[in-house]
Amino acid sequence: MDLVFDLIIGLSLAGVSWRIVRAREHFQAIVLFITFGLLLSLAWTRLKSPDIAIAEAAVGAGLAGVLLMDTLGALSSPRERAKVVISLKLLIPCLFLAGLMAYSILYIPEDFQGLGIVVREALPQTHLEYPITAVLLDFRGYDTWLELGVLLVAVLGVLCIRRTDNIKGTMLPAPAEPVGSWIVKLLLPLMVLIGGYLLWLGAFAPGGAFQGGVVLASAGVMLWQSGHPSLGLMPRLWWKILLCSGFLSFLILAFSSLFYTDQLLTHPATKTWILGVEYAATLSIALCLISLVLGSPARNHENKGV
Amino acid sequence: MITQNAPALIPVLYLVAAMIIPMVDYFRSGLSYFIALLASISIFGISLMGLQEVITNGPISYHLAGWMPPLGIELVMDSLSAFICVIISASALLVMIYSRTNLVQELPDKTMGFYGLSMLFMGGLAGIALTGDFFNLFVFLEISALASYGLMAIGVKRAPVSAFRYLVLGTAGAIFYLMGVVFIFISTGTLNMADVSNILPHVEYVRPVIAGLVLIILGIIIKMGIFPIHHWLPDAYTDASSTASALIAPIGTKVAAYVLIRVLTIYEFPPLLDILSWIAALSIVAGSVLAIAQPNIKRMLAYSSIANIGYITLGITLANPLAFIGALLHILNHSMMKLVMFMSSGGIYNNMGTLNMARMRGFPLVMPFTALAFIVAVMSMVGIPPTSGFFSKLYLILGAVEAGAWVFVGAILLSTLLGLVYLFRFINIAFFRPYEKYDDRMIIQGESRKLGLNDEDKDAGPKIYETMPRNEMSISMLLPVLIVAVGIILVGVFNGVLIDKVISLAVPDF
Repeated sequence: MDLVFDLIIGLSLAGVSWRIVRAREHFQAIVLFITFGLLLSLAWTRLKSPDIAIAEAAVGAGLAGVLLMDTLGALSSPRERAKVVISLKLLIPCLFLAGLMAYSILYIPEDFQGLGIVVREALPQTHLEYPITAVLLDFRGYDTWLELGVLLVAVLGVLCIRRTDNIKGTMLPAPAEPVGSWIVKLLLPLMVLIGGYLLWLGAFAPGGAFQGGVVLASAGVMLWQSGHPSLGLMPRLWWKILLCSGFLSFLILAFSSLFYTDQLLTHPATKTWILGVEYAATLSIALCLISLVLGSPARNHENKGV
Repeated sequence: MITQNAPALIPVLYLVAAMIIPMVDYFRSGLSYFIALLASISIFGISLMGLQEVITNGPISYHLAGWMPPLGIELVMDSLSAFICVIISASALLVMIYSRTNLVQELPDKTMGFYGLSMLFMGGLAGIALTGDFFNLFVFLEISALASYGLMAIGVKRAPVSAFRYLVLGTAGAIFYLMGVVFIFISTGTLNMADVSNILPHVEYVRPVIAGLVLIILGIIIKMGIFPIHHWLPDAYTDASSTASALIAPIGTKVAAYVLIRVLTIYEFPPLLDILSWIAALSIVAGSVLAIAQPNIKRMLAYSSIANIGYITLGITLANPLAFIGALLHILNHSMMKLVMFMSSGGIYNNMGTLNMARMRGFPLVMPFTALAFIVAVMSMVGIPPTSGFFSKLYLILGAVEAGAWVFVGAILLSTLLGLVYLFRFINIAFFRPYEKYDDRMIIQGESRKLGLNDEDKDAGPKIYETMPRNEMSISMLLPVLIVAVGIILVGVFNGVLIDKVISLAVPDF
């Protein structure tokens, strides 16, 4: 039964991706892309990686879909049919690569454990109960820190292309067809609750900063879509500080650790530090993603053609 | 304490500067320049201290958060990465000095974004150079790549399009790299580079390892802009603002070459080296040939970058000490040449109003000091003895001779001749033809101007010669150009010392 289910997921993944490549209309391609994201998160679940599954559903299917739809709305002629040509020149190297990878997968050791055992052995020292959070925030905290930097780079890049220094300035005008306010009343508390729950769950079960942050971000995007002014009321300086808060909290941890040990990012033996960093990271992930959606250059109607 | 923490401090300080810039910019917009400058100066100092420490006391290994390699991330500063780090931080410092006046003219309302992104870009590159972990390298690769997309997108009107093309290719490259790392991780069970190189000779299944290597190298090749996959590079360099191209062109692709060194020294697989050597030779010749056809000076320089990254790759893949010394020396030399050339082409664009080489007559009269520095860089590019370019080419040729690869010797010599053609074409127009007043009008009328002098005389009447007013770059732009030009000559004269003290330590055992 499991095999059948896996086969169905695998085949439909391949089928959907082929349809995306062949899609003649942008709208069709985007919808298929969202479908692809959802199927992928199912596949991750089957691979026993619930963390990646949640992240994939939220980011790959949710926010990426919003961004793509947003872009579609800004294109001048969305109905234009793209001519799909698959060039033979590219097909041959692609097939070669696919063959190479399929061939080498046959030779992968089957009982691959990765670093799972080592991580579980070192887990008590981190005072965390969930190995993935420990890897993300303690063992490889440096990478997570830098990923927060990546998000910030993306926001800065968007601002540069928008030719503005002001993130909040991008929030006006509100969209022409606001989402009904009853949906907001219904969904907003639920989304904040789920976001907070995912974040809290991260200390001992699948969940954590990225997943919680993305759910909060989608709540923010929905709030803005409904034309609610609350996001715009936040002072500009606070907006900037919250954008950087995840990165900054890692930074504070890094430099304060220099005073009592030799190595950056070493933290005292409680999980308060790590959880503090995680909460700050959630806020800044949420705000970065909101800024990305709101600040997409597509909305720059006045400066069209610049 | 600073030297022992150098591997962590160098990238982190750049990122911190990038974080402070948007905050401070809220209070006063002019401050971001000073923060960027301050960070660049201090990081340059730390890199020099790190290099000193590495040369006297051996490599620094740094375990973040105190976790040992298979779990935690290790940062390594050995003589190779310290050498690359000094190049990165030095060129960052010089471009930051240069950017002061140039940026006000080019991108008046985007200084905050520019400085923030450039600090992130530098932090990413320095992180790539200093990390000892495959996945951490990917994260830094992402940071530097995203920052460079942003930097390239702020430029002339077409810049966002070119940056987007680079984004598509660059993302593909990053994904190839990541997939390759996954294959290596599956085969060895660790992400630490030192561990991987210890385990790889003993792994049970070799095929996933080779697939991983091919994927990683494919990703790096795209980032390097080597010949068959170079299309993003000329557009991106030409359309970006001149400050951004002066920042990205000298070191962006070199750091990818550094990753290639790291990957190739981890596991030896000779057929891959052979294929890469041939790609490099192809890139050397094709880049030079394509450079000849370019009317735009920045575009010509971009194509010559493709040829030069070919030299570096060839030096790495020939896999003998002489060629390797040549490659490392050429990383330094080519960074210096491209710094001079891109910084002066920014000045040329500001003061003469054009990037078209055909309209640059009288360039040495308008900007005598810039012209002097430019000539030094051209001499180094061609490889005329007192300058440093001669010595790196000499080492590369000696390495190729030692490997018995006469075809590659031929490719290097051919490319030198072609370099003579495309660079001296510019020198000929700029230096040896006096500025004539009707030049501008004529060339605007038909870009495909006939070369015969008789035609020009016929419809233009008597020639009006005019000396253009002198209009040198401002001192803050000129100073870094002159410093690097002097550096090119100094590195050439004292290359023996440099190779003995620094570069020979970085050569792995073959």
